[in-house]
Amino acid sequence: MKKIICTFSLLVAILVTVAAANKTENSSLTENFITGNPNIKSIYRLSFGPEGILFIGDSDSATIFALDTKDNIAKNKPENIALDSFDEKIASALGTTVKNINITDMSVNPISKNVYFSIQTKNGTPVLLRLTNGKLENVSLNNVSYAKTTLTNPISKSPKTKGYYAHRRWAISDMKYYNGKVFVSGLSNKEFSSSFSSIPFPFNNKQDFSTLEIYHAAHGRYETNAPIETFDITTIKGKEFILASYTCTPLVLFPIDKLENGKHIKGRTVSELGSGNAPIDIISFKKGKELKFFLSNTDTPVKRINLSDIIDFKGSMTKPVVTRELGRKVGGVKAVNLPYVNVEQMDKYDDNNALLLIRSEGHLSLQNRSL
Amino acid sequence: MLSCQERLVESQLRIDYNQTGFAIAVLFSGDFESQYQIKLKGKKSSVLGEFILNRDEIIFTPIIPFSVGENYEVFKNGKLYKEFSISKPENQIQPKVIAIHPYNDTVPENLLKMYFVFSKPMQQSQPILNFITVTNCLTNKTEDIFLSLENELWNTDHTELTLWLDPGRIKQGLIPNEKLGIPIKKDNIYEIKISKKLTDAEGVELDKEYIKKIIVSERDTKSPSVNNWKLTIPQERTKAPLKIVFNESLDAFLAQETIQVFLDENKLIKGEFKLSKKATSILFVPNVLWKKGRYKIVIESRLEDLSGNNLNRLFETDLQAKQSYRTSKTKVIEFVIQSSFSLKN
Repeated sequence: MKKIICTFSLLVAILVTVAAANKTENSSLTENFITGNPNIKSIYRLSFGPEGILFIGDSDSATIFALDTKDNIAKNKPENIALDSFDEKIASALGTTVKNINITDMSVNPISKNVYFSIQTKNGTPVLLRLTNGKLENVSLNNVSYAKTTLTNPISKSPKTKGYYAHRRWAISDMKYYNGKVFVSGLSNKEFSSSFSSIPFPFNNKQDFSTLEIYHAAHGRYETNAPIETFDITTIKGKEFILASYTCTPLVLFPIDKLENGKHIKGRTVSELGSGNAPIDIISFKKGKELKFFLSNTDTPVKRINLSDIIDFKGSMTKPVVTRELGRKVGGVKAVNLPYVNVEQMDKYDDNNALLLIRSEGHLSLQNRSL
Repeated sequence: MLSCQERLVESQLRIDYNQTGFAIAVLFSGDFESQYQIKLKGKKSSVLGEFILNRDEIIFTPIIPFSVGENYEVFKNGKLYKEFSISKPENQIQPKVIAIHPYNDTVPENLLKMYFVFSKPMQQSQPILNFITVTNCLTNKTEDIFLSLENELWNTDHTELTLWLDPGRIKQGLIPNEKLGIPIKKDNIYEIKISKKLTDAEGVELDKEYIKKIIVSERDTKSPSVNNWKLTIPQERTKAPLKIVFNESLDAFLAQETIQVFLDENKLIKGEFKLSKKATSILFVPNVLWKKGRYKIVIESRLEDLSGNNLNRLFETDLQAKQSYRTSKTKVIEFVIQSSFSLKN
C-alpha cells in the first residue's frame, strides 16, 4: 500500500507545511514537544502563541494543548477575505451540510495570517481546519508535534456531582499567551468557582491558580460563580492587567501581579457594557497613539473602548447601575457601538483589520474589516 | 486490509462502515496516474480527507464520516467517474427520550431547570433549542422559556441535557426579570415539544415527536426541610428498602447523589437508591442485610427542590447580604433498627 501523494493537492499542502517546519526545529519552545496523537477530546478555544504554536483549549479533558503547526512563513500584507456562505464552504469540505457542524472558535496565525477554525461535528469529533489563500485544509490531530498540560482544579465532571458536571465545558472559557505564560480563565472546583490560571510555557507542570470575585453593577452584587467569558492583557502605567469581560456585561481589571497561586482576588469593575448580553471575543488595535479595545457580543453590536478612558476611570464600580441605554443598564467607562452586529467570531487579522465571522440571512460570512 | 464491515453499493465501488455504523471510507478502482476528487453532490469544493492507493483500488477516508442521506460524486481527472449515497444503517435504532424531569405535570412558577434523558448520545452540532419549542396553550404563542447557552449543559456521554429556565428572569429584582418577566406564569399551561428532527450523533432522528405539558402553580418560597421527611424503617435481617418520603418533589438528579446512609458514626452502607417517578420519595436497598443499630441518613445541603431552593437557603437569597440563615454542608436524620427479637418481646 503506498500513498499517491503527488496526485493530490491536499497532500502537496502537507508537504509544503513540512518544508516550513525547518524554521522551528531548533526552537527552545518546542524542544520538549512529542510527536503523535494528542488525543484531543474537544476544542472550544483556540489562541496563537509565538512561532506558529497554537494553543487548544480542551475543556472535556481540562487540558491545554500546544500544537506546533509549523505554519510560520510570515505574510506581512495578507489578502482581503470576503467569503459569503462560509459555513456552507466548511460543511462541503467536510462532506456534509451546515446543520451537522458548529464553528466553536476562530484564530488567526499572527505570522502567516492563515485562519484556523475549530469545528464541532454531529458526533462530537473535534476538527481543526485552516484557511490558506482562500482554500480550506485539514490540520491533522492524529500525528502532530505537541505538548500539553492539565489544569489543576477544573470544575468536576465526576458522577458525584452529576447535577453540575454539565458545566465542565466552562473549564476553559478563554486563554491567551503573553510573555512566556498561557493565561486561562474558566470555572474551577473551588468554592469561588470563577478562576484564572497562569501557566509557564514551555509547560513545566507548574501553574498558578487564583479564584476571582467581581462587583456586578448591573446585578447590584458581588459575584464569584460566573466565569470570565473573554479577556485581553494590557499595560497601564507600566503595570500589567487582565481586562476581563463577563456575561451581562461587566468589564473588570485584575492586576497580574496579584494573581498568585491559591489567592482569591477581587477585580476592579470599570464598566457595565449593557445587561442581557454576553461578550464573545476581545481584541485590541493601536490607532495612532491610542490603544483601543473591540468587544464582540451576542446581543449588541461590536463595542469600542479606549484604553485612555479606562485609565481615566479612577474608581471601582461598587453600586448598582440604574442608567439605561437602549433598555440595557450601563455605567462606568463608555463604549461606542460600531455598525457590526451578529459577529459570532472575531480575531485580529493584521495591524489594521479584524477578521469577522458574521451571521447574515441565516449564513455565516467571513470578512476582514478595519474597525 | 480492511477490518471493518464493507457493503457493496455498486460494481467497483464500496463503502466501508465501522462498527458503530459510520461510513468511514469509500473504495473504488483507480490508478496512480489519475487525479481524484470526492464532492458532495452539487457542491464545488472537494471533501477533505486522505487518498491511499492499494493495488488497483483507491481508498478515500474523509476527515469525518460521510453523512447519512447525502449523495456524493467521485471525479476522475475532472470528469464525473462514480456516484454513491449513504443510506441509513441497517437495523438502525432510533433514539428515544426516556425521561423528562420534573415528571410532574404541575410545577412551581419559579421552576429552575428541566432534565431531558435520551437513550443514545445526541448530536452536538446544532443548538438544542432549535429542536425544542414551547407554546403557551392559553395564548397559543411560542415562548422562549429556556436559557440559551453557547456551551450547552450536557453530560459527557451527551445523553443527558440540563435546560435552565433563565435564572435572571426568575430572580426578582434582576434586569432580565424586570425586562422580560418570569419565564413561566402561574395558571398558564405550556406545551414543550421536542422535534422528531432532533438526531443522535449518528444522524438518526428521534423515534417520534415528544410532548410534555406543564401546568404552572404558585411560586415555591420554602426550602426543603429534612425535618418534614418521613421514614419507613426496615426490619433487622432483611433487605427491605428504607423509604424516605420527602414532602415535595425534589431535583431528580441531585436527589440520587446527595443522600448516603451510615451505620453508627461513619460506616457507609452500600446499596442502591431508587427515586420515585415524581421524585417525592426514594428507596434505599442495602447490598447486605440490615443489622440492628443506630443509623444516620446524611444529606448534602446542596440538594434542591424544583425551584433551586436548597436545604440551607432559598434560590432568591442574596448571598452578599448578612447571613440571617444557618448553613451547614450536610443535614442528618437519625434512625434506629431494633433487634427483631426485642421487637417481638
